[in-house]
Amino acid sequence: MTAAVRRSTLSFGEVAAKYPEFPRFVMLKIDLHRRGVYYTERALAAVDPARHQTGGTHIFGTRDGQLTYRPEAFILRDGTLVLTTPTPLENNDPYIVDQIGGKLILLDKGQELDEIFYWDKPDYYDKKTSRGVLMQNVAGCRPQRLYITPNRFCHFWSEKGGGGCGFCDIVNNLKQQRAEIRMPTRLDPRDVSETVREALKEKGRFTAVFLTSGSDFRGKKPFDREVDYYIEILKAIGENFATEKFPSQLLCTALSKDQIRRLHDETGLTSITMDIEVLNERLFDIVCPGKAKWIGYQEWKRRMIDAVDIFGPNRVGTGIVSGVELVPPFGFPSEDEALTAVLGEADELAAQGVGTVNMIWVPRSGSPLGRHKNASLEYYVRLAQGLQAIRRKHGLEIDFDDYRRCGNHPDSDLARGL
Amino acid sequence: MGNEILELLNDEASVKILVTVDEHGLPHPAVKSSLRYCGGEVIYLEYLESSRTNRGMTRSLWYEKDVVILLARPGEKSFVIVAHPVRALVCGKEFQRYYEEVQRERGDFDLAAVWIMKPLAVTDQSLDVRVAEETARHPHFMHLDRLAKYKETP
Repeated sequence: MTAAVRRSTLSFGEVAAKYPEFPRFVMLKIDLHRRGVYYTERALAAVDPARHQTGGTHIFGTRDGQLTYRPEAFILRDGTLVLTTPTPLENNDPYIVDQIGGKLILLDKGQELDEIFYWDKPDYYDKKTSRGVLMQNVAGCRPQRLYITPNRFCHFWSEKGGGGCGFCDIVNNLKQQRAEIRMPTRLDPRDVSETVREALKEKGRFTAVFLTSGSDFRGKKPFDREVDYYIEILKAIGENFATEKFPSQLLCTALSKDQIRRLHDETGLTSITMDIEVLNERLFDIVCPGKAKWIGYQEWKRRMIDAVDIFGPNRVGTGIVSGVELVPPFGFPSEDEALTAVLGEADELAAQGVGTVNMIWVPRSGSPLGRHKNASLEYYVRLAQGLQAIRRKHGLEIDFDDYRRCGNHPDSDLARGL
Repeated sequence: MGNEILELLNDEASVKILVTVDEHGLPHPAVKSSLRYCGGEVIYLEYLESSRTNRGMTRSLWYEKDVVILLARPGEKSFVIVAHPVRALVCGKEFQRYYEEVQRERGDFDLAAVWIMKPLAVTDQSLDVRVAEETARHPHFMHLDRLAKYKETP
């Protein structure tokens, strides 16, 4: 067992007192992602399979290794989405969800904190395409986002790939999904088109289409196959819209300028995100060896900036898996040093039109770094504040990746009120 | 607590102004015809995600601050309702029911959030009521010429 990363000893209440301007709802979300959540039997009994969305289709696995059939996630009173996974009681001191007096209540160490609400399931979820594929396996969803994963296999994990990212369990999760819920590795564009058509029948349900996949470096030029496939899928989605463009986000590898231009010109895509994962070249090489081998850190950044020329400002982003930059022995020795380095590079990117968002790193058992612990609550609060302040400083908006269209970034949650 | 006044939120003859406060402390008043009273709650349908009111409502919920609704009626009658935002519906079946209602009433129109507020206090601010109150409670607050025994007629 590796030693835990440095963690400040401040409790939630102490962090809240120290940062009174930081919204409690978003702080709670951070801590829920950090520590995880445990559903009591009574909370699980409140799940109505006909009404509530249950988990299983997400691209990444769970903390306890169990795929189905529990609440996908929940929502707080202010509309903040919580995308955490069930966590064993003995592991990581998780928050508790219980059913008390007919309401779902979030508890910490026996203290009732607030009411929470399970996500409603979309109408298309249990339907099948004409080819017999369950539509929820074609497009999962968040409350207002269609979440399409055309290819769930990441070739960085293959023999020539150079190595998958240290925090990632995509391939192990796929193996489990294929065995337990017949999840297809690769989607047929016809299934995607039919599923989107069905989803759009539900009024007021979705505000964005989101695509992401495992990386695929194959092709005439590296990643041409990934690009060709995205274009095929995006065109299939576009068949269902009356407009040329539709609110959408593609989360993909850092592609070449020509490839990005093809995505922009040939499809209805309106934004692009290329997750650099770690904002430090040395750590990027360690944590993301496949990305380092096929593209490289400086080239990754240059390609994101290139994308701004094509998609325009406020339409290009990158994500970081915050917390892995502190993992010993290679990580930053202190949270202060990590913040200075990460925010410094995020500031440079923002000055060139690229917005950075952070995900709270959830160490999953199926990933190489899964035995480590993530960072302190105070670190994540300061990071979220810092990233939002950088966007404001540079006049960048994050509409395509905000609290509602995504919900997985505490920093962009802040954009709705700060 | 003034339920008959809160019911006036549902009357089309009422002018309803929702006042929130921005991050600099500046009040932001805006006419909001979608305000309504239902089941003991004040409901506000927000059509624009980026509106100043929506941001102000978010901040009110985040920082546990109340908002004010000014309800103006024909004939100089007006009321102030203090309310506390308790929930923002931004998705789910309940939100979708409101969304469909908006589309029925306004055609191709969007809905960003349904704000649910708990009314805390209702004050009648109509001029006649306030004059009577002030006269009764603050007899010093008046000009003496109004009390003069011998008044010059214009």
